[in-house]
Amino acid sequence: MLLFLLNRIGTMLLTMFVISMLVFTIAEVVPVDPARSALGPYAAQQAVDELRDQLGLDRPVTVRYADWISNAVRGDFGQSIHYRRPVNELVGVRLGRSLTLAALAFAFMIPLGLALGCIAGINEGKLPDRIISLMSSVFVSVPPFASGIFLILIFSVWLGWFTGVSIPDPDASFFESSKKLILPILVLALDEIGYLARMTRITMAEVMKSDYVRTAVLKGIPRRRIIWRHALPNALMAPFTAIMLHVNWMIGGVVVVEVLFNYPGLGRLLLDAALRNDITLLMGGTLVLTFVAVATQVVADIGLYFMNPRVRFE
Amino acid sequence: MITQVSTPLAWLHWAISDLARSKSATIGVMIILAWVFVAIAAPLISPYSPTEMHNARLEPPSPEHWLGTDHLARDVLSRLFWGTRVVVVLAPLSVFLGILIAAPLGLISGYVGGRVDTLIMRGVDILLSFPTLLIYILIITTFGPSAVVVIISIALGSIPPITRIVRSLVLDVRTKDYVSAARLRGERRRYILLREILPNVSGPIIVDTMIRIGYAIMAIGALGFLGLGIPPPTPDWGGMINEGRQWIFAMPWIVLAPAAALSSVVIGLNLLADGIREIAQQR
Repeated sequence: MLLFLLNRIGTMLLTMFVISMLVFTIAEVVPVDPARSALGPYAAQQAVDELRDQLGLDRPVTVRYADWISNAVRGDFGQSIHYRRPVNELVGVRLGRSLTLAALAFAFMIPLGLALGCIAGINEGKLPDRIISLMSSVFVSVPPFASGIFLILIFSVWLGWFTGVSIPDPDASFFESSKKLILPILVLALDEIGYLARMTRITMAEVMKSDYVRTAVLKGIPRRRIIWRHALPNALMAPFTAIMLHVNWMIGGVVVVEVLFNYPGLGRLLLDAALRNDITLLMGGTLVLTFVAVATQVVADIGLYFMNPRVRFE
Repeated sequence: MITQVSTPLAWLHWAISDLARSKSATIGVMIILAWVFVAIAAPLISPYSPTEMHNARLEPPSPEHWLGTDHLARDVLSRLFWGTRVVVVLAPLSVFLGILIAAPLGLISGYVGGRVDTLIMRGVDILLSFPTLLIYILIITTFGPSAVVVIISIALGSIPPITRIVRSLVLDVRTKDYVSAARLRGERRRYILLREILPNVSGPIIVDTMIRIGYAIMAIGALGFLGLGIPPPTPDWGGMINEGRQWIFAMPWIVLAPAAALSSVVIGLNLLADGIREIAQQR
């Protein structure tokens, strides 16, 4: 048990170390002088040199990496070039908003995706399975920026139910602000529901054909009880793992949805940083977002360890 | 799935007669071929040049402009047709580039095992835990948006998952009798990998390639949508959605056309992948 935990956490630390080096290397290659971009194109060369000296930009790469990473571990990513504010402040606020969005999408898609997948898996080959399978193939194939466009066209342009933009307004009532979030959540959830339903369908169909389910049927246990007590707990493992492996895919979806709906989350902050060559912000934000992704995967691994006795004996 | 592949023509015959047995594969192939045709014939079937500016901006659909004009008064239909080329050329190219690097890695990792395997798989795991879109954003910020940079970043992003799939397939095949037989015959490792193992894992790799080209199309679209794709004025579906987004309430067709086109290509690829899998199961 302890060994398993140490192994997982060790891998996580190694991953973060390698990724921080990759991010740092990329920032080194970018032909942007942070001092020059901070002061603007018309600043005197002398001022730029002084700032470079102040920021310690002329020290060797290894020293600067050690400096950057030791500050980053303590949560200090330096100043954003564009916003002139500490990166951790900017990232902190935005990360909270992005996580809210993702959590709401999860709360919507997991029950729906699992339910659809189970219905399809139990009725393998029959009409409900065909309809659900076709639906999930379509959902899986439509990228979030396209499905977002379709949903905005249907719900905002045609029906006029929701607005197409989602800027959180501190004065708006809870109902008003959550109404604005419905479309973004729907787009994010649609992106994953098809995948989740497919995964659940495959395992559910397999479990329904397994020996222990047949034994249960022959014992005369009611069908409903077989599905809930015998089949479902075993069929849920695979989609659980699958969805956790899909966290990185979802992060891409979050970035796209935030841009599409003008939602000021971490994804949009990172994209803006990339488009403006705000390297310190891009580095800090990437590191934080990657940490969130890696940590989620570790937590999922540990969760699976407790949920499934079979993993423990491997 | 063991099929003796002899000549390209025989293979084509086998492929067509087999694919025709699956409804989803047939529909998928038809959708894909239609778009490939549009890509090849774009100069002939487009009513105008994709970058030519006409008299009226943001025109609704009319007999002259079937899908109207965009914010720079360019014909949306012509841009849609020409934009097919970006999707049809760049997406497969980036995936093939990825396979070219990932397949040998996966073959070696799965067959040789031991330390080499551990090293390769550690690297793959680390890269897999890095959000793909962030890899693209970082690379494109570093080297600037261009077709080549887009291809390379998508290829790099597809290396870890392909390596992993190839490795797991090899692990499955390497214990088979014909591999042992080749080893006992004293064949070289290179012969065993390329002549015994590779042909027998290629079926699932082809299915995976279809799905991955779909992902690549989505990625190219997403990058265009985020303003990091092929730089304007080259017509690109993702870029068209990005540029037309502001006018979605007044002029929905500017964004609807590329969004629908892009979705239909990916649906076609996934249907084809489903169909191939179906056929493989029937055997």
